[in-house]
Amino acid sequence: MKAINEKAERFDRAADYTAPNIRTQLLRLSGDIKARAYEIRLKTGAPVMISLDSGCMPIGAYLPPSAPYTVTKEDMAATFEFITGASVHSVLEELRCGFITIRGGHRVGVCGKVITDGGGVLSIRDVSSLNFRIAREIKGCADAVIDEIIKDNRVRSVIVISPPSCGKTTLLRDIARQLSNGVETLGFKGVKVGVIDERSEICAMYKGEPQNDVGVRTDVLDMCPKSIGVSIMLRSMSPDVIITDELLNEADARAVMTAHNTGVAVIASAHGESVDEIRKKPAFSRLFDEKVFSLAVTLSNVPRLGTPSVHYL
Amino acid sequence: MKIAGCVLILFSGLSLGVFLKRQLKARTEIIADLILSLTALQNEITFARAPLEEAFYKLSRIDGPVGRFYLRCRESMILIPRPPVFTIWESSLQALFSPIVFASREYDAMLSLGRDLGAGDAVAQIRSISYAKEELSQIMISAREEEKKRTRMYMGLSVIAAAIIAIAAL
Repeated sequence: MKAINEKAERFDRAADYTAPNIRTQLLRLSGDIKARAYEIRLKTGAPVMISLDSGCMPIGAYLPPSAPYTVTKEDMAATFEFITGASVHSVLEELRCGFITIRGGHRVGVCGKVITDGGGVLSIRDVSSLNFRIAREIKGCADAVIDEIIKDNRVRSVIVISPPSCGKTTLLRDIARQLSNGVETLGFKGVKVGVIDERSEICAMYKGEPQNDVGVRTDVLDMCPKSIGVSIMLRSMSPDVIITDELLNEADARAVMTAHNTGVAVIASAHGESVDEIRKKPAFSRLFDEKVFSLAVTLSNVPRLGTPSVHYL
Repeated sequence: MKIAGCVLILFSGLSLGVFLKRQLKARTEIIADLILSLTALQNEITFARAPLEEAFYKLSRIDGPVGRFYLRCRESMILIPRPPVFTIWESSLQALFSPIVFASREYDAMLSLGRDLGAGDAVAQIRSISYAKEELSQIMISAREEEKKRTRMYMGLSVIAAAIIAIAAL
């Protein structure tokens, strides 16, 4: 019950950033729906949509019979003003990546007219869609794998693999917290953790403060590309473990190699269905050939979201 | 006794004149502070990329009503949920300008700036602020002239009115 209330509370705090008309609708949802919702999707001229594990439905499906509320241009403008703090200029870097992090660690994806300058994105205006991704911090979700990651009081390098929305980032966050704070049951006292949070998803930094608990010995490089971040972190914070999200390409793999070559354990994630699929990708094959990772953890939806399996490499 | 009463009446007239003079002076001082604050706001947006809430906090350190205006804006900006920035700006402006006479022009200039604040990117905001500053500078010139003219007139009228009442009382 406490967990449901906490999740519903998180939903309400995200709803606080929507236009008053939308917020009124969202707050009418039951505690159970609020706790299960992981997205609030707004689109001009369309009803407010709520994503649950069972699918994405108009808000009317979860409310007592009433006239369906359609998002107006004014609602969209007001919501955009709230999420940017009426200061587009100060969130431009995030906006260029297509999202904005708000208090509580919720991320709001933004779609609209993209203003480009040659190749790069300058800004996004005439916002047409907003997607509030409700932050889900699940403390203890790494309990099933932490004793494999820590062996003989040493941290092993791990790659976490799963398709999107299976809980890679949630798992990385809890691993960071446990490695940083220590794990009493394993007699592990905790190590210095450096998080290179390229997409601000692991720690969800808001005005220099992590919105998620990532541990007392954790230092965060927010919105920093891995290729630059690993060197900065190694030079400046001397971490024992580096944790980073979403390895995508050759440059990311090189950054992981750099960390590995300095003797630092690396815990990273990658999109994929299986270890073999990742191993076969040209960008990552070297990481496997050089035995950078000792373990792979795959996540699946069966029997429930985020179920981990450990693979020895 | 009568003479003492006359002196009191004359003194009251003079005080009224001084009060009106101060009101006019306060207006030009507020406009000058507003212009300075807008320059600082421009710098906060251009160089510090500070969100409006932070910029307002820094500007709230300005002494007097202009500082209180930004403090009021800032206090409303940190509320969650909060009203739209224009509503915050407008209500804070109303509080700032309520005690001042003949303030409608600068009120309008600031109000129209509030419509653009927070609505666009840095370039658009800087442009709006520059426009508001220019408008306020123009208002400042005429406000200073008005101040000189009206100060003399108010002082003269107050003293003359007091003198007439005093003579009539004698």
